Amino acid sequence: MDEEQFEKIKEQVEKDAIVWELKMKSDAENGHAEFLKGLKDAE
Amino acid sequence: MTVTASGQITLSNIMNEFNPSGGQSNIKLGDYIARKPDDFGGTITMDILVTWDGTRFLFDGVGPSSLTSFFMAQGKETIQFRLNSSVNVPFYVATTQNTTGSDLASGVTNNGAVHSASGGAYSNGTFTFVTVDLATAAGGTSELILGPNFGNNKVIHINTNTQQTASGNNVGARFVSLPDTNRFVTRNLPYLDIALNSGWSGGNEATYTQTTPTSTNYGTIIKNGTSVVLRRTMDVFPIGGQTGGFAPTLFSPFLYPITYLGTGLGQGFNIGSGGYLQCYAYSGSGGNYISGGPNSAGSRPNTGQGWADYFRIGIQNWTGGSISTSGWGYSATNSGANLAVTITNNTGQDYALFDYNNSTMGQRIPFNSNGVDVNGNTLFLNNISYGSNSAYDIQNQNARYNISWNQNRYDGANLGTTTFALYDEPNTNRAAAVANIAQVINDLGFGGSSTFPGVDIGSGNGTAYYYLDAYPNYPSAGTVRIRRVSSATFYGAVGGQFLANAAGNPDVQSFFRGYATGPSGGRGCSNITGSNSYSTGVTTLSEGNGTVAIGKFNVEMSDYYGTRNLGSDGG
Repeated sequence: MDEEQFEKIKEQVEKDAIVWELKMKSDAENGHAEFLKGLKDAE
Repeated sequence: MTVTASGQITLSNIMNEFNPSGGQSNIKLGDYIARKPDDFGGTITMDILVTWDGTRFLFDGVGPSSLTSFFMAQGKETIQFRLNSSVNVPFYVATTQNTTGSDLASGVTNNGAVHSASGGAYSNGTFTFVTVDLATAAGGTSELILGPNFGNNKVIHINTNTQQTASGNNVGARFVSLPDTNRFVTRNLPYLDIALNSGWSGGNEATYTQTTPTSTNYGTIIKNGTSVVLRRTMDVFPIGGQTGGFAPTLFSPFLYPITYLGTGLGQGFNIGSGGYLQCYAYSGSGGNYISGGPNSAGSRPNTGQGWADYFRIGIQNWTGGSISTSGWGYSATNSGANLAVTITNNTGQDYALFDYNNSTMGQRIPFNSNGVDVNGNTLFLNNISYGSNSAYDIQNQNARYNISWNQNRYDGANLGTTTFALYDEPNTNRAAAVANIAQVINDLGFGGSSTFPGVDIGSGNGTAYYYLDAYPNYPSAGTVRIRRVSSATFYGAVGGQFLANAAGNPDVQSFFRGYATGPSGGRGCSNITGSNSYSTGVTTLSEGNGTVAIGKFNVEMSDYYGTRNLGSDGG
């Protein structure tokens, strides 16, 4: 793989990371909401 | 010492230059004709461009003018006839002059070829090659014989299936196979010697090493059926942590299915649609989670060990993500705060793995997670100061190197930079590296790949680097000599000089750009470096002894103006 090829892949990863990190945030917040609900239910 | 470039020259001048112990009597000019440099036990190639003018073959633009026209070469040479697109008739190398394609000579490859524009074993679309071991094809060698015994010369004939003519007269071409004896004037063919580091140790792309990722060395491949261990020392979530605690999710590195373009990393690959996996380790109400503070009650305290315990004790599989969890395995172990998460790939496909960049800390981290601060905000570990000691299994590489050089022609004209690149076999030592460089230069065909592993050198016809000869372990073990072939048209008849490349970069570069950035020394490689030296520069045809006749025919004293002794290797 040459430099140019790798740079293209790297660019793709960086672009994807922006989108995915938004989705992760959403997933994490959903997870936390689930956790809080569990706490509340336990009370 | 150099023979004067003008004025009177004596036989003694020539003898003193080229054979100082020759004595002062019985000096024979015939002993001071030219020879090609030593072949060092390998092949010495002479390249000849062949064209067809419609009625006869031309050799480097010169055609036969009679039925007894001849050209000369040394029998020790391999003549590489390079047919261009004008050659639409068979090119026969024979032991007799005929128009039937008969009496074909031995020691010839691709005999009878017609130029092929579609490539193939001996073609690249531009040229088609016919190579001749001259002494074998001619049945030996002989000094040029003129006169009535002309037919006793050791020769090859170049025929086709019609009578060749010039201006209506029948013509034919032959090459006389000359010996290498009684020749004291060695012509210059420039060369480059590359001495590899004695400690040369190439890596192996089939192996992995736990490595701390850096800004220039990160990413790996997780092959189908294998696992990669992701390590990080966990820490106290620094921004308080929400009262009541939180349950982090562990996010895998970014994963991309890959399709290799060839047989190894060196040829590269394409990535498909990628994503990440996540493990929500929370085990339900009252179960596994991180409490609000280091000392507060709860499942796991907000400490490094608390986080590591949380991911080890919680759910042990990928619970979701942006790609299918099918075929992916998760397991975790810890020793105190040191967490090791193993990701296993049984998807049926190899994946490229890219980690996270924590620009706050100037570190790369192999997985991500999240906490919740006192204000209820979700924060990710790649954006805050948290944790230490990243490491994961980074794939090693075979040695890969570029050899580049610049060249001047015999008259000083610059010929630009040439680069020879090779991604080598696994685990090469110096001897193997030298042998492989020479093998690829000498044997690689257009149908093959220059990229190891696989040692795919095509049909071994040597047509890919047809302008170079390579000699392994010459002039000493661990060195490879790369020499330009003898050619009247390619770079000029003789002479010139190899130069360091114009950019001033090392002529041997060790680098890996297989799928991610990497250290200049190559992952898993050590000492894959080298040094280089060059033959003596030549700036005129005379300095390279190119004006001196190679056969005992039409030799003139003025041929020796400006000539000099270049030893037996022409350097």
